[in-house]
Amino acid sequence: MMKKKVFAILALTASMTLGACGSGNKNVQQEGSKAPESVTINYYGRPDDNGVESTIVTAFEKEYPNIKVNYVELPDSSNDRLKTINTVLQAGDSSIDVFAGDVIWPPIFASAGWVIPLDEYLQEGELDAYLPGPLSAFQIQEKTWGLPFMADAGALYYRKDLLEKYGKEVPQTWDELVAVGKEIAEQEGDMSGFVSYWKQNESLTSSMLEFYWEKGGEVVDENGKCVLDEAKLAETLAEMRAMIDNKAVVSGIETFDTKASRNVVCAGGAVFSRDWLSGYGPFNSEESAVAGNMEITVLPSYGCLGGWGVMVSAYSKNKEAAVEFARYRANYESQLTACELVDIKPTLRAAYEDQNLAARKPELPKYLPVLEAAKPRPQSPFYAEISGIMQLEIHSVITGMTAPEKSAANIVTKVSELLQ
Amino acid sequence: MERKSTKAGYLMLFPSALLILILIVYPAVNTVYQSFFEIRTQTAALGPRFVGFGNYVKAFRDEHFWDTLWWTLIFTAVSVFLELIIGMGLALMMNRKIPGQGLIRTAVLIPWAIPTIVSGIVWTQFFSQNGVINSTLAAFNLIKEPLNWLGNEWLAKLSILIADVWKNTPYMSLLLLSGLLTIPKDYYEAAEIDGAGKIRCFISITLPLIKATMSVTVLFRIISAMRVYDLIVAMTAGGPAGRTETVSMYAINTYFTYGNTGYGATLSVLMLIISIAISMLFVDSLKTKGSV
Amino acid sequence: MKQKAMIQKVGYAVFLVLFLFIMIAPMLYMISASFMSEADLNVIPPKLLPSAPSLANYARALVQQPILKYVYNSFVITIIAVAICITAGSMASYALTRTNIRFKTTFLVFVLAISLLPTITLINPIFKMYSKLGLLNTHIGLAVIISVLDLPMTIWFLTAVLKNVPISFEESAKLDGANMFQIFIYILVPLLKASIFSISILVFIGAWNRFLLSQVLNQYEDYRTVVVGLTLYQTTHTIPFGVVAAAGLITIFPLLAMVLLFQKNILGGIMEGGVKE
Repeated sequence: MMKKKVFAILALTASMTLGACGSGNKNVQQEGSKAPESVTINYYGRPDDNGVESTIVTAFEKEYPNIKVNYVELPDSSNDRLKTINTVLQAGDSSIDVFAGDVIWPPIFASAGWVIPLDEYLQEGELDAYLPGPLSAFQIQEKTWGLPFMADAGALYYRKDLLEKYGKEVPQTWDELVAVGKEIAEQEGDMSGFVSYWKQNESLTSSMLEFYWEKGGEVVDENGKCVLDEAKLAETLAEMRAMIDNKAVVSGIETFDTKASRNVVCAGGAVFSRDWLSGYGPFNSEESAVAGNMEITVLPSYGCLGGWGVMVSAYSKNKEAAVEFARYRANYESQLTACELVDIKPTLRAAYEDQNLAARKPELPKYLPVLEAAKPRPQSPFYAEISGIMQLEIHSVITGMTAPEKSAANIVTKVSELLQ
Repeated sequence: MERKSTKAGYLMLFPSALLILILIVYPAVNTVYQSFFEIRTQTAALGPRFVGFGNYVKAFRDEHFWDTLWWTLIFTAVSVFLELIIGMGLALMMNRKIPGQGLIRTAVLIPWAIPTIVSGIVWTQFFSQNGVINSTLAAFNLIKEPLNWLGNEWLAKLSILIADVWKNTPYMSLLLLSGLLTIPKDYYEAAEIDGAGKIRCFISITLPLIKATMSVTVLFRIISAMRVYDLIVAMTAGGPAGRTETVSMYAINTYFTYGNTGYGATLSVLMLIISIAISMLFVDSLKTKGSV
Repeated sequence: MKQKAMIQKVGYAVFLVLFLFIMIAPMLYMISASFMSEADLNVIPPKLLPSAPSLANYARALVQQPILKYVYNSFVITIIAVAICITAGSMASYALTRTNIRFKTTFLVFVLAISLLPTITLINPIFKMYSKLGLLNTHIGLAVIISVLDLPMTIWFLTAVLKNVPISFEESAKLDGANMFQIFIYILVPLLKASIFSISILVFIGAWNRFLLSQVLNQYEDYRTVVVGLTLYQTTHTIPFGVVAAAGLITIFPLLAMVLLFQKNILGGIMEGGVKE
């Protein structure tokens, strides 16, 4: 009787264990069994536009048959992604192993201790392959907290045909730009000198920083302390307001988002535009009225660095596998794939020197100077809140609700308070 | 019999009480607890720091908090008021047998069936510089230049109100209608025989009898209006210059985007206190009608 | 007299048309946009009608995201949520209005106060709880938390309605020997049909539209809800409105069909209840 019972219990336990091992999509690691270790990691990636993420994931799984990747799609908007990722990491939960993050996130996540530095997993010289600009966004205090796989930067777009027609050179300063733009627009009629998107969001801060940096202003120093120059800030805000007052920009610019601004450009409504690198495609696509005439160059002084990279969660239970995937996601093949499928701009220098790629994407070399002139946004863990404060005040000035000096003073006061 | 009724009563109350206790009371207590600490993602490695009422003092001094609060209250009051009036009118109409009744009932439910994200985009299009609304107004010669609906503080607020009233009037009218349906028709017949006009009927019969339903409807509509988020984010992102930002938007930003959990908790507790204060006004009106 | 009636009729007709138009205008635009190409949608000034109507947006909507799976998930979760909410809520209202339990007002007030807590505060604690209990990425997990969010409103509403219902039916049933539960199920529920349907629709649509909790608790594609799925059409700063409109319409139709079905039930009472004027 006893023997039967014992046998029955053993059989039951064995079948239950086998059942648990067989269920899919769980972080189960078979320990001590004879079969090869198979691990599942969760990758919280970007939207699967044109199948880009799933293609890369499939390729990775082929090369690493022991690692299964559960790809979880998150929305495109940086803030929406942040809500989910923030919640999981704050709970110290292990559901995220590796994720795609905005370039402005590393300071936050690193200081929170939610991501691990990748240096110990990387090979000698692996980091040199990356363009210094995009990589710098992920390097804080001598450590690398992520690998960039998509580069972006603020760029200046101009109507090549119009500049030629009026015998103008590409402007080297913002003042020149405003003047030339206005002149041409007046002559042409029915268009404006400049268009961008100055709705109250992160891009507004980026735009302002690009003006502010030309004057030599800075926001934070290496120690994270506030070094805002109130006078330069006030000047910047005043100039932005003046651009609207003097009709040097499209009316309604303060309500424009990316799409609205691009629509204006494509309809031939502006001489100059400030947009991210991703604007080049739409501006020169078949549906655009100005296809072939919209060229790209560096902004006067610096453009804001943008883009995305992979980071590995500190709470992951499969760190080695996660890092393998991170390295793969940011490597040459993946970036080529993504470039083909969704026209992202690579972060590896070799990609810009690749003849095959250049043949298929002739505009690729044009992005390099822009990327090299890109400057990361203030690398403070409090950047999101700094940007929030700035967005409000900047928008207040450009809609005429407050005076530039007052807003500049507000920004300096609030940011200093925040950073002390 | 008395004891059985009581026992059965507690039994029937139990599921609701349990659910609420575990899923709402626990987070509520957690939030209140957190509001007394400085908890930020940026300092997560250091752990929470006890600050007593420090966060509350900060909130009282926080201009942005008061600005957003003020706008939230005004938005709530105006939109709920408009929705009540229009909703009542609709409910009264749907309560009678009139031609086109089926059409009205169907049309009334549409604004609500459309997911907020999508209707947010549609209204943004409508109110944009070259959008439908400006074109229509221009066609009727009511305006000379396109109005800056989303860039001007007052127009932006108006456009949000319009979109919100459009979306929520169906909700109001439906609840009010079900309240109207509980009024026995003979009351009206008796009043008619006595020679009372429509307006008199409404004031003396309808209103008093749906007071309870109306109060509950308005109360809960106020609560959800105070939490409005998706619509405003889609239309103005809180602009221009943060003038259409509501308290819940500010709280959500504080929690997630700025990573300031402690202060976010404080703002939530303050929102809770204010909501409780408003609700107290309504509890009385419900208590008068018979005993609980 | 005849003239006045004519004017009234015409005035009423005009009002009706105008009103209907305003209510459905956004939906009309959505329908039109769903057949428009991106070029049409981006042109300035915006077009109202497609120049070359095509089903391309619908095809893309179905291919880019498993929208039908999302609709299924939303339905399952919402129906469970409504079931829990109405059952628990009606039982509670009955207890509060027809039994002799103590602390009734306290309970009502407490339930109300606690429901005023902003939903954001629930996210972190519930996430942690669900993670430990393995309720993340399930239908039942999300359904339960969503149902609790509307529970206070349901309890208050049904309590208000029940107070107005005369107790005479129940008394005679009691004399016949029926117990509490029998009275509840066989007498009260049929009487309250209209109210229960009304509040069910509200809870249904509220649950269907819940965004934040759905996004955070059901992150995996297999359990994702529709409202979260709709945000995934956006790529690189731009929202392809044509595709989103098509997707939105795909998700609205089952919803509308269901609502129309119920609507007959709620408002069917008008026909029987007699005609006014």
